[in-house]
Amino acid sequence: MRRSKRIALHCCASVLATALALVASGAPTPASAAAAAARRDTPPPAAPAKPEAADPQVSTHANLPESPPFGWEQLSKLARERAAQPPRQLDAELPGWLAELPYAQWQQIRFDPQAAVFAADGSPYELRMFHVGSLYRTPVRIHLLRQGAPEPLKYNPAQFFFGPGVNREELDGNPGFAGFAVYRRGEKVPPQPVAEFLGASFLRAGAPDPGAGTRSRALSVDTGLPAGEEFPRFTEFWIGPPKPDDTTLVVYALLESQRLTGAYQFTIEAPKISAARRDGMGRTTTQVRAQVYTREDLGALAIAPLSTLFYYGEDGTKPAGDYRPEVHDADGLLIHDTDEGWMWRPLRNPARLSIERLTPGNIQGFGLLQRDRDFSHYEDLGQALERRSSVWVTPGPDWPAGEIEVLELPLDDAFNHNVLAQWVLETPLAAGTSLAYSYAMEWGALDPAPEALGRVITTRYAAVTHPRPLIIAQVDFAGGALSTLGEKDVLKGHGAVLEGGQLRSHSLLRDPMTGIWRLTLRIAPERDVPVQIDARLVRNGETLTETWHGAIPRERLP
Amino acid sequence: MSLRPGFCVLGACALSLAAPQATALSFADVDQRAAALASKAYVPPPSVPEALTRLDYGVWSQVLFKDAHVPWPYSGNFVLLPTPPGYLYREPVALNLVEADGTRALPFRPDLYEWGPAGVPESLPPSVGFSGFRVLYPVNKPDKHDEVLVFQGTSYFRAVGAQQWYGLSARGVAIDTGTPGGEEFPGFREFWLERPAARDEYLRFRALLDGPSITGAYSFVLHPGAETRLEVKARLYLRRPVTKLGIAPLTSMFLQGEGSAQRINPLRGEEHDSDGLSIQSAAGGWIWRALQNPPRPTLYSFQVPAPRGFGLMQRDRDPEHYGAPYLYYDRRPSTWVEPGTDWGAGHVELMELSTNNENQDNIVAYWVPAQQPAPGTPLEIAYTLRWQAAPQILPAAPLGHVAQTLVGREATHRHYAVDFSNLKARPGGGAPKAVIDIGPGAELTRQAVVANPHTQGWRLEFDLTRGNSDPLQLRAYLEVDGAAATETWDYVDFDAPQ
Repeated sequence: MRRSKRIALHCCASVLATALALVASGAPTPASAAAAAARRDTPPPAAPAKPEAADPQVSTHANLPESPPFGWEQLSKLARERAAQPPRQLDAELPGWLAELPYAQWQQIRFDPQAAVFAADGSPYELRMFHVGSLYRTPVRIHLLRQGAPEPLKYNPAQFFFGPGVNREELDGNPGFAGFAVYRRGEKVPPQPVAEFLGASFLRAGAPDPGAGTRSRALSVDTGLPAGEEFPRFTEFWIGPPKPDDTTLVVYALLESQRLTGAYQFTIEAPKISAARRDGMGRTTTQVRAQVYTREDLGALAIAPLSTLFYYGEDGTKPAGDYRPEVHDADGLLIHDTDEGWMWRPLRNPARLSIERLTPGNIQGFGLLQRDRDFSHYEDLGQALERRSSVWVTPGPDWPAGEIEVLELPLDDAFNHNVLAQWVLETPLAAGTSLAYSYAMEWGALDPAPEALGRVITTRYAAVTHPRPLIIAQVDFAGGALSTLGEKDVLKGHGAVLEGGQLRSHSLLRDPMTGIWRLTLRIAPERDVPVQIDARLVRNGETLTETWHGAIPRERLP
Repeated sequence: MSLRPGFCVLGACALSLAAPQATALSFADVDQRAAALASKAYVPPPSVPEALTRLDYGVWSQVLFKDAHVPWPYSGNFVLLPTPPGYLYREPVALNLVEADGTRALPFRPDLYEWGPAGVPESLPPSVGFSGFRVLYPVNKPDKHDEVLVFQGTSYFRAVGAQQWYGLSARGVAIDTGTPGGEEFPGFREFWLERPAARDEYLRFRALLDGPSITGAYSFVLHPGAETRLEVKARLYLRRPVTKLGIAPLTSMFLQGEGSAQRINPLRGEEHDSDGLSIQSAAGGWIWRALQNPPRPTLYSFQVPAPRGFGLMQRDRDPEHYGAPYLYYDRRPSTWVEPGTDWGAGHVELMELSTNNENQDNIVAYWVPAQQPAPGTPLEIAYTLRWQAAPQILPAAPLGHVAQTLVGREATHRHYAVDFSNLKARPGGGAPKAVIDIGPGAELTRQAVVANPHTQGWRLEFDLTRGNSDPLQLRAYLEVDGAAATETWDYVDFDAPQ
């Protein structure tokens, strides 16, 4: 297979070197801080908060016009005005016991379903709030859009059930909400969560229950740069009650950080719960309209970031201490490009920080997928990893030029997100400029590659040292056009080592029992260089499968 | 130590054996010969010429018995294909055909075979015999003869039922397995096969076994089918006392499974011919010992007087768990040994060896009677081997059985998850109660029984902390209302597992 002209692969050597140097000196790398925050929503260490931020409803609310009704125009105007002002101090000072609350105890603080917002409006969606505390220390302000001026949603401890050990009487002040979950309401079935805004600029959705798993952020600033990453946050939300026959819920959010502000409009559409239950898993879509304004130059700007957990998979890296066969929230990055077709890049948990960039010619979409839906591959009764939402990003017409960045961090537990996939802009924004863009995200048990296309279902590697060093990549393809083929069909495996070695031989085998086509590539690696390979299956010149893009980290080489 | 069939473990194999006399018609005749042979000094069989034993598998396997010479026509159910000498098979085997009008020898002749790339061997000594035989039967389709049985190499044999694939092996007898003095491999020297009628659904044959310490007369009746049954009756004569007499030995392979610490072959999932030793006691209790590829050779015995049965089983029938096209681990048989008589006092023994590849059989299980027969006195034994896939022998409902054993191993901590399926559902009740025995040298730090909706069963989870480097013998079962609701799961926790 020829080396792709449009999809160029290169590792950011300078960034990698910087990050590794930071690791060696014991300081956290920008990227590892990013990953820690990605999972735990812990913002990076910040200066002590100013006292007045403690009571957000009263002291620092936005100066909003009485009319016309709040909408995109008002939000983007607000974001623009904020960008023209110096950055606000965003951290609030929580009562010590709340800030120190163990995460498991914070999880026991539950919003009273009877207090669900919009439940009384006959709306198809309702909101339930998350309490601040533990990892979630920054309150957000929530405005309800009913009649007239936006109406702040008041915090009241009576809205919450606190677990044992928390005396509600002792709650002083007005600690506030950390975020909220959107629930789909159904006839005859209890409401089910379909989306949640919780921590920094994170959004997670799914149907009927997002649970844990892959999340999106509004954007990321200076990821992997030596100066450190900046973490913009959603600070305020405006949400109106959908009418009973509406199928969508619109959430407006204001994004703020040191160097930028942003206006974000999310249009959430979740399937009816009864339908989602019937189909096993439904799809929730979130349409995003965004406008970003900068105060200062940005080093790097990436949009539609998706972060996920990949601890280990079927590729032979299972740690002995865990009995689960695989642990991940997503197992691959799928990219659709008009020019290059569909590409599947299995995720990894490398021994060292890895940044890979893929440059599609004409991007149609990308996403982090949990393709493996077989419980027996996870064996986790508590977490149901086989039900994690896949997320697919479809760029809008105003999508800026750029490339896909896959950032993978070494991970030795299952508690942090360690993989980030995002669209890095070719040109980061300069001070005082603005960027408008839009995209859609789909969440659920989805796989947007066409039905007819054969897919990669398993990637395995073995290192051989005798008689000479070889790395063996074994890729199983199945489904689509492959499922109608039999023993007599002649397929060819097309494989090309793009970097780091030479393809010595390859072989293709069809498993008569399962219909799986197994492509085995034997590669003589160069010394200490990660190996990059592309492979696909072809019949009579026609490509029957997506392109498998293997990236074998150095530690897997013989 | 290797357990592959056919290795000549006794260095010198030089003297020639007298030409077989095809006169034995009945089991009593074979028995008489076994008794007479035991009273004489052991004479090793003549060795097959080196020109043949030098052949590698690829070449030897292309030496094919000519259809024109098959003793029984393909128009009948059973087809007999004598296998050529050579490759690993150094000991000549004599074959006799028992017909209505008498018994005749089937002498080995090179022209019985197409020799292919091996080339027709020249000037073979008259002592050369076959290496064994294969039996074909229309077990899968009425109009197609498929192989259902092979006897080849010392006393090894294998059988399969419909839609099965050769996996574990059985042997006539095991002598001194896992003893410091080394194992002895007696061999079947001669067979007498009764010609079946065209539509017969069973095949009867007899065999004479000989080895340095033992001789034996065997009678076999083969019943191919969805489950292939092989009825075995034997009278064994010791020439001298042995350290260990292993009855109904089964030999299998376990490289890696769902509970292994690592995948030795990272390109495959699980890789084994059997995943557990199942034993049913006289009282009807069940033990499931999950197999392992241990860090060092291990030998465990299970005291079960007069067992109802035992077997090396392949319970996992999901091809996807193996990920090995054309190897069909999911179709390899479980083999259940069902005693035909009361076996009395004794124990089932399990030997597990360490292996780093799937070509080495590393698992052996057999029955050891408490008392050995005195030299000259026969030990009469009868049992049926049941070669089965699905359905296979399992504890009958409502008794639950082990579906899988998952293990997480940290330096001194272990996390176990054992799935039990097929328990009788408890109407409105809570979780069954776990009964766990980890023995001395470890501390149980957590335990829970949780419903597993994916198997409609219950998962026993427990953690333990190991105190020292000795292997721990773990046992656990679930109980409901004070009575056992599952078979007993049995496992060995090693300090340095594979």
